[in-house]
Amino acid sequence: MLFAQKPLPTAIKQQAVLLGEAVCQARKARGIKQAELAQTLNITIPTLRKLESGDASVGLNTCFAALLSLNIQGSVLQQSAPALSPLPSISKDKRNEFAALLTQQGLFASDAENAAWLLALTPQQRLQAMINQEKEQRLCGIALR
Amino acid sequence: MWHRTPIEQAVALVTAIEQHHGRALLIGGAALFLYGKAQRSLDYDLWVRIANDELVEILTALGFEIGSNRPGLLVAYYEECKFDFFLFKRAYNQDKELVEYDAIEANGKTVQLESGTLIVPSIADMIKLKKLGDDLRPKDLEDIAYLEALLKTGMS
Repeated sequence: MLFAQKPLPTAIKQQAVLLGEAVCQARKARGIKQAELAQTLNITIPTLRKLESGDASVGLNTCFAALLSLNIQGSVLQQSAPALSPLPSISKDKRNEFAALLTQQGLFASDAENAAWLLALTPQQRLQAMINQEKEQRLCGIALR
Repeated sequence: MWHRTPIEQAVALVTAIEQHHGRALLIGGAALFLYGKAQRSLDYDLWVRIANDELVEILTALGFEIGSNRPGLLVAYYEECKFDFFLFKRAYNQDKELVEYDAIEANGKTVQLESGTLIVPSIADMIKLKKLGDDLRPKDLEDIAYLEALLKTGMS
């Protein structure tokens, strides 16, 4: 386990940023200062700054109040960018075949076998393999600087 | 023992950058390891989109020591390990190809973690990135040959 904290999904964060940018742009276009808008919305300036910077912890009532106050209409949110695909992998039963393909491309056989072994691991297992390698290097006292 | 190993620290850093509404890509040798090339240089490269002062704030909070800080490149150390942070938005490589953060990120590949998502460039984009800079070192040529071999197997 790397870390316990569960962050918001990226898509939610992206939409919060879009909403914040829309509020900020509309406010500036109307020549309204943050202090004035905060007063109108009955919130503090730091809360408005959070909203404008895309902090998704700002309450829904504050978001709506800002949109209505600035007369922001239409679609503020956008469709999320298409989801990225995970790092490519090969299946374990194709390891030897893949290593042979890499060797045909000019790699040393041992390097090709190592690559095929790593690529047959899940991306998470590969990351763990790197962590394990780093721990061994540390124990060996290798100075990296 | 490490409090966190360097790559664990890099993951923590990426999470912190995202919490500050910044973005980050893992590039260089550590990314290459995730593509199966175990022999790598022992520094860590991240391409980030965040204000320089915010990055310094995050790095300091995570226990990094700031080395040098010049436009487009910040160097920091975590214990004995060197981390390079590239802050430019776009550049042209030796083949005159445009290497732009947004496009590279859009084609990126992910490692899903409990703490979030680590993004690395695609194989083709890793090759483009390797060709940045004035001189290609023998190590860079070796890495490019490896990545091209992966592409030729049909992996993308």
